[in-house]
Amino acid sequence: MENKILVIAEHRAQEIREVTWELVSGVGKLAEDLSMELEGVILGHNCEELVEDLAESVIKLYHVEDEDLAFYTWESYLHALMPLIEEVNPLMVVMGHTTMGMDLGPRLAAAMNSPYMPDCINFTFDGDDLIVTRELFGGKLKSELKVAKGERYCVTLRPGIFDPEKVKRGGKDIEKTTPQLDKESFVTQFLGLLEPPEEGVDITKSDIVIGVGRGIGDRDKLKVVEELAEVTGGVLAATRPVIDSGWLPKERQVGQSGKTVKPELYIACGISGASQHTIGMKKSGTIVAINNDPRAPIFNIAHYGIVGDLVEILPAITSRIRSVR
Amino acid sequence: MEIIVCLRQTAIIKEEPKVQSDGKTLDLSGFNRHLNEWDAYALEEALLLAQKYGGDASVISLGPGEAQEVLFYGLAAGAKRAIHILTPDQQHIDNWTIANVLARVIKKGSFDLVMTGVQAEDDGCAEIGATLAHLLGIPHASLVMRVEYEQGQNAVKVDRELEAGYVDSLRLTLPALLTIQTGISQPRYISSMRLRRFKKSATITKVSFEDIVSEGEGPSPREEVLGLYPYQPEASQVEVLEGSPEAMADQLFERLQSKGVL
Repeated sequence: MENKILVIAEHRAQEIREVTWELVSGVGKLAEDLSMELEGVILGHNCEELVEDLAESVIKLYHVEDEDLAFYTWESYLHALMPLIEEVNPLMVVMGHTTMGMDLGPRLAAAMNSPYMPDCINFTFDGDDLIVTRELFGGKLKSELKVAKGERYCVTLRPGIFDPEKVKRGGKDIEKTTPQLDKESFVTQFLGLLEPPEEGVDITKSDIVIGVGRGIGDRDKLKVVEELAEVTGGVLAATRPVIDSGWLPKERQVGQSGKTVKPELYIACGISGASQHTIGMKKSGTIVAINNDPRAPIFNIAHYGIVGDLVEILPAITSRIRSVR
Repeated sequence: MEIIVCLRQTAIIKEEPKVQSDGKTLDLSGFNRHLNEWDAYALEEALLLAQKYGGDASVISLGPGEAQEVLFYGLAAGAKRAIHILTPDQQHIDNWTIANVLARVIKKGSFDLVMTGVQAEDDGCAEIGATLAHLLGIPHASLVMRVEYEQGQNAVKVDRELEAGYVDSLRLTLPALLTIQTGISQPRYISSMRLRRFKKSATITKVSFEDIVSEGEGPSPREEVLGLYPYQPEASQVEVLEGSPEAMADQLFERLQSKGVL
């Protein structure tokens, strides 16, 4: 067994995704602490610039080139990765707990016959034992797990837990390979990557964002949040359940599958703070959380917290601001 | 089209969950349970597909005795058959084992599509769907937001939701497995009277977890819980404001003004 961690890079629309920089930076430091080497793999087609860019941040970068790897599918990636992983022989394969990691991770781990530890917020080795930390019930509990001994491990790490620094680590050691893909046997066909639609309101442009979550309870109560948005000159945004209910349009969604916002002020109203949402707003300048559950994980990232009923609190704040404007 | 929908019962945690004296298990006895939110969307999508293209949806769940509640819900919603893989109470069963046992039971029947929710509300792992697809030897797509059956091609065309509004469009040869994202449709309303009627009269096929496990090799559990820790604000930066709504509004206004963000 080689004492190596292999990071699978993600890219989309000719850019390396931020999560990849987080992993090479954060996992790279953990690897150094554990006296392990960080290597990376990037699969793609005509992506030499990305390869050059990433190569400095890992000890060695494997560049797997094929036209069928221009876009991610579980099947082309799995077929290209399996022989490479056999050859590289890492102790651990790491990727982000992203829409790619969630799709590929379980399948790759099963194909490798390796334990799969998804959505980890930390990992370490205790002797030979891999120990990981995960969250349960949307962050209300932390769970520490010992992973059964495997020949190798497959882990996905939550985006946003490391800073995406471009650390210089390697000397641009790139090994380019062409995979043998049995394309005739493929049962998954990539049809296209659709770009985000043109939108009416761009919530990423506002200095003040008022976020509303499931805790608002019903649609009629949105009025008190709208009034706060109006008086602050901010825009209204929402978590996924509010969007799924059809109360606000998709362009207002903040989080993993929505937008990432970094306003000067983010007021989270009735938002519990599940990672799928906080990924999209935790880098806001000042975060205010208003929630009737004092244990809501949103208070963990907020600067100011108010425990109480939105219908009483929000009009009081609106009225206070209005009194000076 | 024959569709199998995997349903999971999850606890609704509103208060602080109690960690038992072993430090490794939760006492969820006081908490209500319901059908995992993502699975409710998978069930609805399966029923809509069966209605649109012809065929039936069946539901399957693995869990202790009370997990059969979600199967009654599935039957009341329109599923034709239900299978309950009965597990011992209070036993932590990891997702690898769950996927293996589900695969063994599902392989005994015929199917065109297997559907699950993207993830479970309790562990948020998003693990079982793609693992199950591998064990069944079929293609999969996760985070699915649209499904179209292409009868002539024996395939489904699906849209997967990616980050920041991007969408992946794929064609999968059937049989296939899909994990369904919330918001794909609106789960139908089931009245409590209808649910009671199904609880009285509907049939659920019961199979024993241990029997299924013993049918083949393993699967060996792949994780051991070392400890569970309730949420504690980590030396948190949060300043919690107190008092009447007006007093809290005053304090907040002052602080935001002094920071220059209002």
